[in-house]
Amino acid sequence: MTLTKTALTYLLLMLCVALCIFPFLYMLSLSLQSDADIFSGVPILIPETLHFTNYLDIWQKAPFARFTLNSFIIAGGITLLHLIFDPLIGYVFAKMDFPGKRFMFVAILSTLMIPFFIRMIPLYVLTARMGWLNTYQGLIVPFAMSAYGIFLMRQFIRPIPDELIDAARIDGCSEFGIYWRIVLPQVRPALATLALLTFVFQWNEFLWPLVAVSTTEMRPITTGLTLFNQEFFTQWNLTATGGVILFVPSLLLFLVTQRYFVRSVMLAGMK
Amino acid sequence: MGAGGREEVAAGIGNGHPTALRRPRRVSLKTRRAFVAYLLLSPAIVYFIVFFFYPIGLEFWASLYSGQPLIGESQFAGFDNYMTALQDARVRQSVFVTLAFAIGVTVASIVIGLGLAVLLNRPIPGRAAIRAIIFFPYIISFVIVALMWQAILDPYTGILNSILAELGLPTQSWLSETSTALPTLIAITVWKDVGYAMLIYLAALQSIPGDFYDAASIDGASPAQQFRYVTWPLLTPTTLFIAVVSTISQLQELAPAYLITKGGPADATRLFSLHVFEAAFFELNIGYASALAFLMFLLILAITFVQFRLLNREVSY
Amino acid sequence: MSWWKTTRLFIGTGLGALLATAAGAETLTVYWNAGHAYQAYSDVIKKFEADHPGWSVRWEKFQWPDMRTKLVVDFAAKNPPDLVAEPGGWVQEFGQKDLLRPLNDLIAKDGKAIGFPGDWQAYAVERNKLGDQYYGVQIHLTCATLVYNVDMLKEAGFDAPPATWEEFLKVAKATTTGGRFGFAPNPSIGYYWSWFLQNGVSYYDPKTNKVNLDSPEAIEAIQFLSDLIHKEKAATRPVTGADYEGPQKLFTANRVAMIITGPWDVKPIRSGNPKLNWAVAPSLKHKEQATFAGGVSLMIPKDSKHPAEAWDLLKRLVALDTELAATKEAGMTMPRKSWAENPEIQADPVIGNFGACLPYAQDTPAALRLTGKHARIDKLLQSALEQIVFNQAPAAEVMPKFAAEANAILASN
Repeated sequence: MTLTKTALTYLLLMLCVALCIFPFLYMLSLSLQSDADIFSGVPILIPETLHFTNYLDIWQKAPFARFTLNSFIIAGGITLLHLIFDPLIGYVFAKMDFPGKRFMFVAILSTLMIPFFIRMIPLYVLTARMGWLNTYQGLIVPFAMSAYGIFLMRQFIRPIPDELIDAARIDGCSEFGIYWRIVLPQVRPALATLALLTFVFQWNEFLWPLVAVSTTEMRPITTGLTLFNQEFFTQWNLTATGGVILFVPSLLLFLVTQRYFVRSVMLAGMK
Repeated sequence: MGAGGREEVAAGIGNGHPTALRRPRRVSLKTRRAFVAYLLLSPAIVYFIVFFFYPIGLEFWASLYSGQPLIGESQFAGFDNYMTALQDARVRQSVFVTLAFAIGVTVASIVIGLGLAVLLNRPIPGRAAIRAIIFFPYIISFVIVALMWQAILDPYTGILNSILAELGLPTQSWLSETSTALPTLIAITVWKDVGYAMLIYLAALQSIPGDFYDAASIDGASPAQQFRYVTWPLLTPTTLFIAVVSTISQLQELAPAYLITKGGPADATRLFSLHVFEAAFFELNIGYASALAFLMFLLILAITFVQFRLLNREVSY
Repeated sequence: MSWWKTTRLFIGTGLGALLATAAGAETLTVYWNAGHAYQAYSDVIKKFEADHPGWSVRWEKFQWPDMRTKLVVDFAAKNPPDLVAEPGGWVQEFGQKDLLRPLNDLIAKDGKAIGFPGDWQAYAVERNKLGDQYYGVQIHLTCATLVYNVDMLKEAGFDAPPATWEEFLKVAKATTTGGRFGFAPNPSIGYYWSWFLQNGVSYYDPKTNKVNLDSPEAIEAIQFLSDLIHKEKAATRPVTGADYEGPQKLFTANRVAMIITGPWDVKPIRSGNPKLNWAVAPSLKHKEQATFAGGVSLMIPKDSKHPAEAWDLLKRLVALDTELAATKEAGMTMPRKSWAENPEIQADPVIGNFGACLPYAQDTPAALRLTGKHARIDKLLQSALEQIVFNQAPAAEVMPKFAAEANAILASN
């Protein structure tokens, strides 16, 4: 009875695993195919000869190393700023009282409800006036915080007992000291979650780098990859190669943070 | 930052003498705390005003103009753009498609995510690996996801139909039929996002104390009853959290339609964001596009409000 | 004291050199399609930089929709590039919005020397004009025509490609056997125009300010395509999406006998299946022999900081020698009459046959574009045509409904 049940569970899970991993294997397969393979018009699952050369070509056909560096600087910079600001703002909303708190919180949350591309034109004009077009700060600063991150951190900080904070206050800890020494250590797993979600999102961002960058050397991988597309057909093998390269850092970050990810959500009890 | 707070204390209560009256002291403590709060908040206030409310304000201004607001010549038109939008049959069609999409993705993510979490909550070997693999799609760029699925689903050159044909199963034009295009788009989005829901459910399940189930099994409840009467109610806050976050983001989703179907066939997958994006950047009708975006904002606000009311009622939030 | 003199001299020359580079370090920004970054153009740009010391060209490549998004925000910030390639239609559209620099003075100065507009196919000049004002110069001129698999036609008993719709239908049905199809239509509605045009239908009538697509000829044309797919089952169903390469892939894989395409598919077909025996045919004829034109034009934004240099680069890019080099390299077809008359071009069986269609190719939405409502109406048309071709709705019902909606938009202010 239990044996069949376990077998059934496995079968179901394996089906899901297959479904989730198949497109990746296909991407991997495409990235190892030759031009003739991808233009042949016949779908090929396992190429006869593995063309590892795509992984070498991609660095030569475009400044792909520079794209990768840019991606790391942009996504990394934004993630760092999020880690600095989101928990701090979240803490203020979770644990402090001040006039206008509710209004400000709702105002910040309401920014989640306007699609980014609607803000894009004024934001671009603003960035141009600041002289920040085609600079790292122009790609990073406009995304320094997010309502989602602030909301997430507020949720995680709320369950921390007030007594803990009051005790620290009585001990003469400054407000910032309380945040730094009492609150932050408590939400470390949540910070890992925030880092993962922010990094993955920004690493894959396309629209803003498309408009705010004006030289090829400043492009991140996402907009850099479009150079491999022809007008009416896609260079599938190189695009897939780029896709694999694009996937690896996110994957590594996930593998490193995943145990915190689950822990952090447990911690908050999602209340 | 702490130093600034202390100066304020000093200014507020004179010498900070303990003999100061109780009442003024409490007020000033409150003031002091509020001051510190504002100080800590100030980067966020500046940031959101500069990068959110100022651009959004400009777009609202643009939504009141016809012609080329923000780009060239424009004429004040009052709420004309809004009236036009409300009367446009294509807008209504697109709202309908978007609601179907958002609800479809949200419900499916919750059901499948919870199902996977329940399966993976047991101590089976290799579950960490399985969990990680199911989360893979969440961390990949939609640009790549779109390319992969287009290649896989192509009715003639796609790998899926060639596998189906080899197994002797009927093949399908997944994205080319009005009846299957939207469900296919929903399926792709769920495929991408379900790992996130699964992880959150998994964490929530692990935080349910074992005694709850022990008590239930003593009462002779079957596993199905246990799930129905113990697990599900305890998961309500998690479910509502996922529902709110997913609905807000799916209602604004642009990528699946923009990158995979371009809204076709015959507008069957014309998500609202695609409609707005095309009005702005293809038709250069920026005023109208802004008006559409603000109508969408109101709709999302209304839906979120209802969800938050539910959240407040069901949970002591 | 001499050390001071030397130092002064050193500082002086250093500063001077610095100032000279600062003054001379000018950048010309050019937006280009990522698929058209030919060596021929790269060479022209290198030559331009050599002839203009201190200038460098920032040659930025995009996919068309991405470039459009980027351009719109650039225009909003009054920060546009100096020279832009566009895929057809943008010249008039942006020109009407007063975002482009009129080229009349430059053409008056240099037109004779470069042969503009006399050496260009007439409609390739018209599509880049508003009234008397020139706003763009065509650099690529393409058209799609019938491309066929010689062996598949032979097997079915046809020695020559079809010339009329009747013959086409016969060939398509005869070649549809065992998982292979007679024809694969492209999902982009631009391609549907070959059927409309061959039935004598134009998009829009400026005299009545109405679209012409509810005429019996228009309905017959699109119904012909829909029936070919659904009733005769002699064509594949088109696949929705941003992807244009479906038909080409099937053709390359030897699975479809005929497709309608242009010179851009030559390279993928040749590299994907070098053994394929295929050829290019003249466009079909029903009421008339016709096809749709496409291609790329160059334009200079009004707020360009260096219009003179942009014009100089433009002249070099559209020179006959550059055109011939780009054709040799990439198989692209070109707008100059002298290009089409070039004996080498005419002798090439593939390029020559594509080139032979250029004189009767048409710029379909030309007249509609001048109303400024082309983008909106084209979206409606796409939806209407997809209802017919994908959902099998009868053209006789859909087209009048579309026409009524489009005409209402045209009539409004």
